[in-house]
Amino acid sequence: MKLSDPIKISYRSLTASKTRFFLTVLGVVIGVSAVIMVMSIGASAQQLVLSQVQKAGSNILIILPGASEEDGPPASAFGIVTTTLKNTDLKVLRERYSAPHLTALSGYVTGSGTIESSAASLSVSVQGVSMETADIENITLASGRFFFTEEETNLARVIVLGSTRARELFPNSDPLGQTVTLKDNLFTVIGVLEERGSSGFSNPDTLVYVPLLTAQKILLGIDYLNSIRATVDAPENIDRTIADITLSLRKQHHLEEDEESDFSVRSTAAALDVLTGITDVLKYFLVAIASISLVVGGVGIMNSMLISLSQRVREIGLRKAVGARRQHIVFQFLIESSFITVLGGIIGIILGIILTFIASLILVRLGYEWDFLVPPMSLALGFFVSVSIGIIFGLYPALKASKVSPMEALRYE
Amino acid sequence: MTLIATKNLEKIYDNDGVRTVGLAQATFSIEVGEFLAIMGPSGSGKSTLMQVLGLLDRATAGDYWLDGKHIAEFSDDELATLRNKKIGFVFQSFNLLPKTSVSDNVELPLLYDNHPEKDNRERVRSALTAVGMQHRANHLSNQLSGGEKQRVAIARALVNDPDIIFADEPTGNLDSKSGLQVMAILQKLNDTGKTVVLVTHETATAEHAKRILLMIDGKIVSDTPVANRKFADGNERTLK
Ligand SMILES: Nc1ncnc2c1ncn2[C@@H]1O[C@H](COP(=O)(O)OP(=O)(O)OP(=O)(O)O)[C@@H](O)[C@H]1O
Ligand SMILES: [Mg+2]
Repeated sequence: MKLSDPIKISYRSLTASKTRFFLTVLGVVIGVSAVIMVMSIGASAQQLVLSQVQKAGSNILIILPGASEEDGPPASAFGIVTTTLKNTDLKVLRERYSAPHLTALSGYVTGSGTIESSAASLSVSVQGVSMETADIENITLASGRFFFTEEETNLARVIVLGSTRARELFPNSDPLGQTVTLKDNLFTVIGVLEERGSSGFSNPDTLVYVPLLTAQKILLGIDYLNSIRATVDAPENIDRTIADITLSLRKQHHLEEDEESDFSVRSTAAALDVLTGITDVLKYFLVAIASISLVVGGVGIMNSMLISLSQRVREIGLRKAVGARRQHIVFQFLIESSFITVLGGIIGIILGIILTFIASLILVRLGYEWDFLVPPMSLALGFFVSVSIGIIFGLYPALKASKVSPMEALRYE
Repeated sequence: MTLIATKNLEKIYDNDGVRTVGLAQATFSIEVGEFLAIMGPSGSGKSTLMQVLGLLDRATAGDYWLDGKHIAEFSDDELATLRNKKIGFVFQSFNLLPKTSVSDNVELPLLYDNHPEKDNRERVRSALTAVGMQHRANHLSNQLSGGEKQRVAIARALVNDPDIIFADEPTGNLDSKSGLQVMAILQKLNDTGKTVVLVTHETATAEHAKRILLMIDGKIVSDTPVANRKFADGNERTLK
């Protein structure tokens, strides 16, 4: 037996069974590329969710009205209006000595209404905020400015427009200095935000901002806050600051020792942890789907490898009859199935990456900040599982035939 | 010179406790250059005997010496090598590799031996010439008629220059003209010194041999020389 013989034997065998060859390669390609796609898209989705939260800022504290369970959402998250958070709470916290690590602080109220310009009339979400919101949310202006402190206290009717809204209301002119009507009140546009894209749960491009007091008194007629947001100077001070805030607000609300707080303080860092937990679950789910695709691909490979099992066993019987030893047979089937599965594996990797890339192009087109990424683990997992299945089932006829005499293999049915 | 010798050779098939006697107490010998026909009704054990003698299956009892070697002592791989060097097979159902060219089919035994590969082409060509199939070397096996397939199968059996050729009902799937062609080739091979063992249930075919073993129920019941030997190519010859 010469070195070239096993290759010659395998080559002839492969070219004599093109359908089996094609189907098996296809099975491997599908298995490998499905795993790569599922795992890559899962990883990108996780990345997307986490980056959205990080974009919102990870040093941010949110104070919401109403008590809450340690891990559960506060009542206000379900749309129940709770009025326990007041402007005086904001004032107390502004006296920095009670919570020395706070760097910026802003009250929030939200409402909706119709906004009109000479060109358009739209229904919008209105945010009443303090000037420090610009710092907390990293808001940058495309033109104009955010509110001054005086405008907050003297009920100034000024408004800052999200970029989309500015375009819709003033398609052909500079909005700065122009007036809009909001809930029957005239407002002067003093600023337009830079385009930002959606971040997590809200899209600043479609919001309009007015000073906090103006929103409370003139637009909404309320005396409470929907939330307070604050930034902390450093991540390591977050827990301490939550404790500081809790202490001073409990004092402000005259709560007894055994009374529950009527507000809750959350950090986005905690939210990030929760989301990481959720996306991890998502990842395991995707791994489960990937395993299913591997099994499906594996069954496909197995099927096509065993399409002509009896014909192959008879072929082995013949080869043995004319002098093939056990090792010749095993070698032939090993070469054949390795070649098929490695070829399929390589095509599968290439196809999987291409399909993942196409999917990411489509998602970016749809407006998601989608990163194209392919975890090396998915390549390794898809490739090695499919290749192993292919080789095991490729060797199966050889193992089957090796247990019987050439005579029995020849008459195998 | 004795090529094959057996003593009380026995083959019992055991399928999950169901025992069938395929071959019982066979004691006989075959000399180099013989042309032996094994005859008998269906199920009498002709194929069983041929498979044991051809090293395709092992006897369950008794002794078998091929070319002086005691076969029971050889491993499966050693038997494979013996089959490769000394034995050629012709089957009733041809057993050619499908969708594979005639020359690749004939070359098959040479892929499992130690000859230098450069000789293969020449050996394949002369084996095909010996059966008159050299003009079909590049055809695929499934493009041939039954008679042509069997001639290719004989070329495959010849290509390793074996001492003995076993043919199990080689004419069974052929019309009488193709059958005669096959018998003529086997006789010609025998003339050139190869030992031929032919299994058949037709007396007319068996009479092309020099000697007939008759089997019934796994036992050899008679062992007689052929008095009026037939020659498939129509030329009468004197017995050597
Ligand atoms: N693999 C097997 N398992 C069990 N029994 C078998 C097996 N092969 C053959 N036999 C039995 O052994 C006996 C001899 O069979 P064998 O094939 O040798 O007969 P044969 O003379 O070649 O018949 P035919 O002319 O029909 O080919 C039969 O009874 C058969 O049923
Ligand atoms: Mg038979």
